[in-house]
Amino acid sequence: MTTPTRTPPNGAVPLLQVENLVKHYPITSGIVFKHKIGDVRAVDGISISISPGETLAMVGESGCGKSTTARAVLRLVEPTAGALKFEGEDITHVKAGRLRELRREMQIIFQDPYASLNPRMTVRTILSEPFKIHGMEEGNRVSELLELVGLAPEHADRYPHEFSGGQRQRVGIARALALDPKLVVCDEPVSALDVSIQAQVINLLEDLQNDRGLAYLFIAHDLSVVRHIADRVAVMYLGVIVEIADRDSIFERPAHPYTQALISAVPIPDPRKERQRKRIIISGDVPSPANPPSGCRFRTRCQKFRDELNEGERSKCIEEQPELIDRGHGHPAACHYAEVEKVL
Amino acid sequence: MRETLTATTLERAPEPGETLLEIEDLRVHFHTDNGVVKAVDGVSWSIARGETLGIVGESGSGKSVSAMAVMGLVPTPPARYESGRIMFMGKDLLKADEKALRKIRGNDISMIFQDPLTSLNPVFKVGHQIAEVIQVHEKMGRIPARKLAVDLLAEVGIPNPKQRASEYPHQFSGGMRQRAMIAMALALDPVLLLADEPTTALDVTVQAQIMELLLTLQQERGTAIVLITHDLGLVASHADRVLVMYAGKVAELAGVDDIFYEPRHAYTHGLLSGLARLDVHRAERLEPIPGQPPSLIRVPSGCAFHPRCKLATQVCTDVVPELVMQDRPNHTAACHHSDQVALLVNGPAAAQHVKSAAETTAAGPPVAEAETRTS
Amino acid sequence: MTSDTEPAPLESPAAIEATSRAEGDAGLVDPGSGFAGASGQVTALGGIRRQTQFGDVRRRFKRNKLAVLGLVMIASVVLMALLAPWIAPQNPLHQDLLNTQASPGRAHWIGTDEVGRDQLSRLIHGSRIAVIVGVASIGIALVIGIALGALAGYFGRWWDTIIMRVADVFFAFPVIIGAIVIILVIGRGIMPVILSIGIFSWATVARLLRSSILSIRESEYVEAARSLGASRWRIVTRHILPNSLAPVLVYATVAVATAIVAEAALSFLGAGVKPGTPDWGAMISDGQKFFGYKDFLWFFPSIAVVYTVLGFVFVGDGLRDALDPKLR
Repeated sequence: MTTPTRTPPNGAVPLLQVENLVKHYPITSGIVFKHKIGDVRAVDGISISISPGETLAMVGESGCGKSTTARAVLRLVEPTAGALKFEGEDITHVKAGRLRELRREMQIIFQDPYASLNPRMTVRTILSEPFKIHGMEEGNRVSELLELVGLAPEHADRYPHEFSGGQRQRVGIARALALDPKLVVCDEPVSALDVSIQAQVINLLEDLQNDRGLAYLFIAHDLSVVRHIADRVAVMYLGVIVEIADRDSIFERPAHPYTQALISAVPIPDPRKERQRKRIIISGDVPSPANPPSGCRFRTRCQKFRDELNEGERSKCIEEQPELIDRGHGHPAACHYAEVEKVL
Repeated sequence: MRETLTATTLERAPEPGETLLEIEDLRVHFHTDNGVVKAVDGVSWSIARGETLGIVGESGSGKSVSAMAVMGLVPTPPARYESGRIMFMGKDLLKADEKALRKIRGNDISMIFQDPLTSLNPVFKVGHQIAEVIQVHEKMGRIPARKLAVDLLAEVGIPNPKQRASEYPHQFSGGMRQRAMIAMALALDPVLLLADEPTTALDVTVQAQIMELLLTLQQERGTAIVLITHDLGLVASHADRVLVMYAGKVAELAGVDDIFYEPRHAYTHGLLSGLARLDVHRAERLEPIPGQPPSLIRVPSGCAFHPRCKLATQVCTDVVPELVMQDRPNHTAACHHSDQVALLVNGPAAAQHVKSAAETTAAGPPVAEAETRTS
Repeated sequence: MTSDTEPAPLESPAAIEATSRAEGDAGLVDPGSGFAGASGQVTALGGIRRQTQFGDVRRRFKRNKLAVLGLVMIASVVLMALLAPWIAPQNPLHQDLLNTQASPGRAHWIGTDEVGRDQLSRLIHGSRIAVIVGVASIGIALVIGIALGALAGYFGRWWDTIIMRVADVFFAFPVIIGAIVIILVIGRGIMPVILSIGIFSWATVARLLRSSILSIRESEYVEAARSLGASRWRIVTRHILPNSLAPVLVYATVAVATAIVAEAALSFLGAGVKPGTPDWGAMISDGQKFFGYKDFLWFFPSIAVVYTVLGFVFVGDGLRDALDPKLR
């Protein structure tokens, strides 16, 4: 499952390179004498790269491993295998001291603005913590940060619960930006927010990217938001990337049956278009990542496997895990029988 | 299979297209320590047999409360019905006695919720729970009820229904649980199904499955569905008519095409302009509605939307806009500046014919007058 | 920068909204007043609101009438204990053998016991034992429980396994039974009582702390602190402990009440303080022999126990709400 990591067009070193990242969680049994009985293969060999200033979106349904990838990239969880490179430096195993320095370059914005702020700290304490940790002069930075994310600096002495969800998310964004990082991992940053608030936060994220040249690893399940904000999109299913391409290719020319089903399942706020759309309905639920299907992981739900393939073709799906390569559609897709189909 | 069910409280089957449920001027206020929460404040809507009504709104818009009032699930106290009627096929559910209500709920009206795990009892087997619903309402023995439950699970697309029936809710995945909930809701063949964010907790491919299932069941049985959601996409693809709620009031009520192509309320228009879209890449910035939805304890004066509205003028601060008939049939909106919304969305030609709430407030009784205009 | 600050005025009406909700201020500011005016408004109110975490807790606590009453009840008992030698009308050990089991009257407000000691004086002095045993034993339980619970919760693995299994053993023993066993070994007296109650109460503290640490350790704000590069020490002291101690504190308050009851029970069973010491449990024990015709002998010390216990329970209940930062 190696894929050539894309180098940025200008030939410079990508900001972040992830090579064959694997994260398995052991399943243990027993209380006093714990022993391993299996593995949850949350992330099972993925490779991505992000250039400075770029937004790479990772999409997929719950349990596909996108959040684990986000945390492994920041080394908030230790990868089981694979390599992480930040600006060319291998950071997979760097020690605590260097990791602490790297924290200034890579930050994260969380999904739940209610859970991501310490309820017993004022916003000022929350936002000054990054400077304290890194022994930096705080000065007037808290006020500046609040203004940066569109909050009144006068609110600094309040507790998180005194803010609305959207405002809290802005505080979370301000905290992530405090140390002036180059890469920000956004883990579903708008999906807990009200519809009318989502657009506010998306605009803020875009403005910050334009002003500061941030690169985003944007984890999301909402494909509409991804279409708006991403430069490139990686589609994940059960711990692997099944398709990766630039934004318009993914949405206009999806080649993997899962990508097609995923896009097709999202309703569009346009009744006339909706009446003309043919929806691809895939059956069942995502299988357990502790025991993924052999060969192609999507085959148990695949509409192509179900409706179009003959026995001989199917056996290949069952036996052989498809590589993530370009089979002539202009971008890599991990399907033996990948075929572009318009679903919008 | 269905012939065995007789427990309906209805004297006759509703005609196709007949109005089943009519909510009139419903006000549900919660009296809390912090003040009065006007969760539903003068809301009217109705739904006909076989129809899907979408109710959209943000959190705290009161979109779920009117449906919960239909089911009698609003706890009183702290809630109080300040006014209104809930007419179900000629009966006022707010005045009906508890026994009659219990028969109607479940038999004729069912509800499904966002989180099926909290609405299924974790200590009973799924098949048992469905069978129990049937037994409570039907004069039916345990064994035939059990068999019917298995049939229902099969009908909602649960594989191995016989084996699944003897499993517990936690052994089901999210999508399966929602299917089981739907099976339970359909057990007594209701004529009206209230679905409160039925797919919000589910993945999008599973959401598609569940919505497909609801659609099939609706076509087979003519069930009317009230679809309460915050997802405008879901409404666009499934609703016949749409009710947009804001701060406990109806902002706009119209056919689904009118809502999306001819919105006449600034809030509806704002919601649509702020949406990121899957089908086209919008290169420009999104146009979000500024600010936050208001607290229902302290609803802004006049039009509740005015602090966030770019069209707001003095009249919006001072006068509560009435729900008035628009230039199109069966389209009402409560906005002082419908004409300007029309201008923004559809251009000058459309705007000429639009009568906004501001004008009608000055001119006399609103709806009646608007009706004569449109007829 | 211009585009960054743009959302600010948009958010401000809602900010005012939030403020006015917090302050119970009905004034609704015209959205047209713009950012400067709006933030001015917020500053004015924000100035008042600027207060410490402790101040916040105190404010929330004070709103609970029952909790304040509980605090007054505890204070009265503590005051009684502190001032016992001065407010007690007689020496609690003085026996008046000519005047035994005297009914409540002018000389002895709540009567005298079997050997003619003034019940009121014994009741007042008895509060000392109750307060000392209650506070000291739970103090011991807290020290052991917090240390072990934090180790188990934060480090997990075999620390967790060993500590929690040991806690299970202590948990399996009812406090009274365990305490009786210890007292049988090391003898009666106030110290043995304190020690034995403390030793059999730490398991709950450790369990509570461990489970709240376990959930808080996985919380997103701890993850956020880690992603900022915060040290382990900082994460434990600034994020995990402040958030996980609240339930422990609430439990400890109520546990003081339980300890007082346990002490009384031990004395009632004859396994408590040395005979003759003025003690509520012993008084009830002595008095219950005359149940039905000399009821004043057991009635007043029982009331004293109930009164003190209720005080701690009310305060514990109030603390639970006051320590929840989400309630305002």
